[in-house]
Amino acid sequence: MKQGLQTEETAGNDFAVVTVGDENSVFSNLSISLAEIRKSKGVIGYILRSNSSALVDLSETEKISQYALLSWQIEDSGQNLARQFSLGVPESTLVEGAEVKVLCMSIGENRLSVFMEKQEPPAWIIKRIIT
Amino acid sequence: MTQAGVNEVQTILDEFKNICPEIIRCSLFKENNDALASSLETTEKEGQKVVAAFNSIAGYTEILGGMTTLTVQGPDRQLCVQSTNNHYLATISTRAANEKAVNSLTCVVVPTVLALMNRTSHLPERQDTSTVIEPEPIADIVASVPIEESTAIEQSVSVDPLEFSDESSLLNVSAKQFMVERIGGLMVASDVVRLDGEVIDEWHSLDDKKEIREVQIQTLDGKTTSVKFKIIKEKDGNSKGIIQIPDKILQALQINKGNLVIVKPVIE
Repeated sequence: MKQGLQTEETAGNDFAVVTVGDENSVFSNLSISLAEIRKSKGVIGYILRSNSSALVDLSETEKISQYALLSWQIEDSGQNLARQFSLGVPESTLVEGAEVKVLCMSIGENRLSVFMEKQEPPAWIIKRIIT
Repeated sequence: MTQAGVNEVQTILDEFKNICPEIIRCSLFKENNDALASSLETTEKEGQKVVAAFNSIAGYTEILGGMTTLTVQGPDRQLCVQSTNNHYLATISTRAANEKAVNSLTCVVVPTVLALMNRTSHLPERQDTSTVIEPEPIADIVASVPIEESTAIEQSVSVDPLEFSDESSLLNVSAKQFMVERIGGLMVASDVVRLDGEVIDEWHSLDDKKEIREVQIQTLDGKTTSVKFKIIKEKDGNSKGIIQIPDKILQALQINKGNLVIVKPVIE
């Protein structure tokens, strides 16, 4: 971890934000986009991380580690499948559960996961992130 | 799943590319990684990758309420893996594919076919009368209830029971399943049921020398009675698979319109 990085924790009524450094502009831009996306009723949280920074906003703070592990696993498996089936560099990976779905994307060195209710369409989120 | 079932699934997957040309490939894997069917040749390694990737994520999805679908989107094409009926369906399509069309095929057609095949494979070769609980297309069945049992139950039914002194009086091979229709009116005899004439002809053809004057009706819960019968006069085809029974007999057998019964001829 880089020297001089700051850790900030903010606890709201129903969510928590944890940031660890923020030194790249793409990361900053993504964090702004995700903050906007987070305001949507169907979005229940997100994790944004780069090689040196992380930003978490999830309503269920006690499950942050579970969400983080799931995000990592989705990213890893998504890349394996993309290689196996010659899909190219994966732009997004979507995992749908019975109640919640997760959209994972990689933009440069930044990895993000957006957790949303099952009914929430992910297309607008992808569009919002890449534009 | 039987080989015939696998062939049918293969045919369906092959057809997907015709229905939706954006589907590049569709493969169905078993839990043990073997490819059950695929629209393109597939390898065991691919099966392993798909199953392993799906399961490795599924292990962490308790917070999502389990996992149903995994979709990986590349620049031009996307892979969708879904778990259905103990199988994994992997579909590769272009990003331009009509999502609704692809979902209809992969999320509706394949799971439905697998569920049907799964159900069919669990059915006994010969359908037991006691397992039939809902109206289904009329099918020939073999009467399997022991005569002793049916005779004992028959005595509890207060509808003019015919005494079966000779087991050979039943043409066991010609039992048929019918759906009950209620029949009533002033001109309707209370102790006579009405049947499809083709069935009667079929029974007669089994043994021309013997006369059929009555039929034995057996309900799904084992109640039996023997009654006289007539042929349904309607020639509009609606009589197929139907037995019209007067109220008195319906009450005695404790059945209603829409129930299924087994009917076999009593020959003398």
